[in-house]
Amino acid sequence: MGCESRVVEIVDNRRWFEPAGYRLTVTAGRGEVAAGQFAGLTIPGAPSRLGRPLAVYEADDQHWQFVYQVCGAGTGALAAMPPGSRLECHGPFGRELPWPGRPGRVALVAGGAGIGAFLLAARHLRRQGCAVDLLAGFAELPPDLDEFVRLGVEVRPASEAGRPGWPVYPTDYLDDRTYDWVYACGPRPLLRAVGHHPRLDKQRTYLLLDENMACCLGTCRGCVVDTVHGKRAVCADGPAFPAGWLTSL
Amino acid sequence: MDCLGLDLCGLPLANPLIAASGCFGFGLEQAAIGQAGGWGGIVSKAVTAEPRTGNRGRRLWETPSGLMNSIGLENPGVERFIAEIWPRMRQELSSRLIVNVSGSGEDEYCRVVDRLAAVDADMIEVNISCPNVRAGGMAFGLDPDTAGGLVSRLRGLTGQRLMVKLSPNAADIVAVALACQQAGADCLSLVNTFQGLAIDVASRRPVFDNLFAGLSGPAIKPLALRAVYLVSRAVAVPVVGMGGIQSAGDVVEFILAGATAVQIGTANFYRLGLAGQIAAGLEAFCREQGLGNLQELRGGLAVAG
Repeated sequence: MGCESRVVEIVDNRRWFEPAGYRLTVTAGRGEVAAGQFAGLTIPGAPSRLGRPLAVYEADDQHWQFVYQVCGAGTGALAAMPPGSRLECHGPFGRELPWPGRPGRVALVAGGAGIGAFLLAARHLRRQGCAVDLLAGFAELPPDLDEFVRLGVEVRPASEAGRPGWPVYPTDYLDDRTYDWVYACGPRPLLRAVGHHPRLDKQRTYLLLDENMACCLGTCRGCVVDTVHGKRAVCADGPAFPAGWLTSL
Repeated sequence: MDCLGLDLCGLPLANPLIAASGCFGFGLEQAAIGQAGGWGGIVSKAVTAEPRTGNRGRRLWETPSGLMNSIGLENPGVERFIAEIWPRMRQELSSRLIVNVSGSGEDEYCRVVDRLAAVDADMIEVNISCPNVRAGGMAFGLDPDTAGGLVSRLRGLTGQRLMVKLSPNAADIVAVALACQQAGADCLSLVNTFQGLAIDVASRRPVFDNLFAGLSGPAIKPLALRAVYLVSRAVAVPVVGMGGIQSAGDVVEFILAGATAVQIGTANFYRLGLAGQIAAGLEAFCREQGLGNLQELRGGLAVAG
């Protein structure tokens, strides 16, 4: 698999949801990208030099897309970069998501920018013949998620700001349907709620973790989590782990 | 013309760039993606007598132009290293291979070095400067007598080349360097990370469970250059400089300060395939400057007065 550092150019970098959610399009990095994989983006001139690890939202021969939320100096500097500016893109890193292997009903539970991990996943699962629900929670309103709808995904929105007929949290949808497999990506409280949900099978519930990372290859041991199989690197062994593996969720 | 080749205490290196311990693993993950080339040498992650799981809690914290870490010597232990990892390193990596050794006490260092007689390492780096373990590690690197005593015991155990990695947290790093040289070190590498403190304002707690953690990256480069300058003027053995190097220009600065070779750590996290790019930069520098070999600049810092 190709994996390298290369300079890419920003094609589009726009506000996509509130608060401070962005969608970024850059010229393509190296090689094929599988669902679950991420790239490190280094912002030139920023005092933080490590690549910001972001899930690849969409990838083709020409472009890679990412979804991110401004949460510090690095992503803040990234949000200020106009189209035409350049940054360094490392990767792709991480493992492809583990797949069900047979058709069934799948929930993709996204909190905020966590949705960035799920467009490639939804496409793959639909090709495998799965029925896919996107349980998408946002602080305010969701962005336009029509690209999921076009894949045949049922989008089930939630908003912390409150909206008639919508739940506050996307996890509220887990009570009214039976899901064979669940994937969750978002803030830690959301991962905890999904990982400890009484209706879900912990071996078929995959949590996509977000950690501070340095090498992104599993060598520096900086992003390890405790699992029933010992320490595992989120960057190289993940980012997805069965909820039942995680001992300190 | 070979403008970058050099001899490091009898070991020929293709160039002065060495991947620093802890920042390149065992080189195998980089080899798997074709990004392990270009190094004169690669230092392994620290190997201890028994497997270690490393520290609990947060392990990384980025600071302006720096990186704090508290990994805590997570490694598979010397037996698995010898049986499973070393053969692959020799097979999959084309650089000189240096094995980094650490321990909680003198006896553990000795056990590991003794077991490493089973492998044909090009050099052993003795890590007396890890700031992230409660016992051993940096404790050996702060005091000249303790450091000298350990190196002396290891010298008696092995004929392999010994590079001793010094801590900038010592009150007098030159005194520690002289003690290690006196005890039989073939060369010295410096500096390991500076102990620092990161604070989470929201919780009013330290970021790291161990309170202090090691700071590396460009933020420490001027401090590291000073240490390399002072130590290389005081000792006769070669000095391998490190601390915040991320470009060919940085390497030249360390050579001018007195280093024979350099190690590069944190910058590996900034870019894959870094060694090849820096080596190309150094070759271009030599051409521009009309240097037959980069070593012509060693210790050549022009100090007024």
